[in-house]
Amino acid sequence: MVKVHLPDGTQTTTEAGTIEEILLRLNLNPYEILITRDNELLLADDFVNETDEIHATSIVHGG
Amino acid sequence: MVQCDECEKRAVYFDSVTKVKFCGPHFSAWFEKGVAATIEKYHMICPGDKIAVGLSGGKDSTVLLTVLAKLNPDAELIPITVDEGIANYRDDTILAAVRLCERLGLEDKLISFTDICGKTLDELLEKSPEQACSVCGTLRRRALNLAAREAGANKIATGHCMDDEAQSVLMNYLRGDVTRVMESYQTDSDKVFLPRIKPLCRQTERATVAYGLVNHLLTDLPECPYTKYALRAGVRSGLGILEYRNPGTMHNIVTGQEKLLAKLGPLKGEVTKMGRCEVCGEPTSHRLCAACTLIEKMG
Repeated sequence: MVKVHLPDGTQTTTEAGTIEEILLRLNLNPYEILITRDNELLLADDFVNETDEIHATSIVHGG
Repeated sequence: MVQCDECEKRAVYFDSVTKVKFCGPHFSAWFEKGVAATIEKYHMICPGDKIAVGLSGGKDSTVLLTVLAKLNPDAELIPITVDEGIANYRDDTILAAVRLCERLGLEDKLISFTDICGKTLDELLEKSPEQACSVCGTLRRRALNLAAREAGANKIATGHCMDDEAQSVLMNYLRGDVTRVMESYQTDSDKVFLPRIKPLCRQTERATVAYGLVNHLLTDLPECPYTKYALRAGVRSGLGILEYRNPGTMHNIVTGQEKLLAKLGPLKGEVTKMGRCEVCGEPTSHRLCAACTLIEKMG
């Protein structure tokens, strides 16, 4: 399963897929979330494998 | 692998409106070129300017200060961080701001709500947390103005990006506040307040944060605990969904507003004269300025 670090500091796992598929599966708006893997940004169409660990950053700010 | 439009490297950023796609270095160059074009188009920075930069330590202001320092090596930049006094939130972002300034070789000036009204935001909001954003916004403007003037700045730069601008346009309509939409056309406030510039106002929030990630400028920070009370939070969420389904929505709102104001031209009729607040001497069109009115009301 793909390990996902969510913007609120929690973690979850999900099946492999494209970034856009994974975000929609997790009920996250793909416009508002940027995904990195090994500190490198991924595109919405990039595929993430079962063994990958990805980090979600919300573009929303609290100010 | 999706390839960069400019080289053979893997693309890390795709702009869904213009359809351009770039690797990290070419995306950074594209972003910086966009900010430079905005600064030039709106004549935001002139030689000899001393610019106070509102630096919360969050994503937008971190990117703003970094890009301004890179694009304007000769301009005098004065980072100013406002400590509102929000427990479990502000300490982390202040630390991020201080570290960024150390990296850029700039001195961060700190001003707190306690300095300007004797109370933290948490103390002010004890009985009415739902007023957080209006109270915080009013006092933050006051703090930034005070610190900028004390530092001898002649302009204030803030990290508002296109999403913030689109949200503000929509919020004014949702409140039925047409006056605020037209405010800059009706007063002579430009003459008494330090001019504000928003160099990121034509960059999307997504591109701004992507720039921060590509250049390893950002650290994980907590979210403001009061955000949930804001009308802006609902507007932001709704617009975010529209932007995903219809890329360019934010851009259309902002440029549409600009076209509307240009078409209307300066409003005819009496211009509201700005005077001075009886308590603090800050510019206002009323007896008391917004900050003093607020402080008086909240005891």
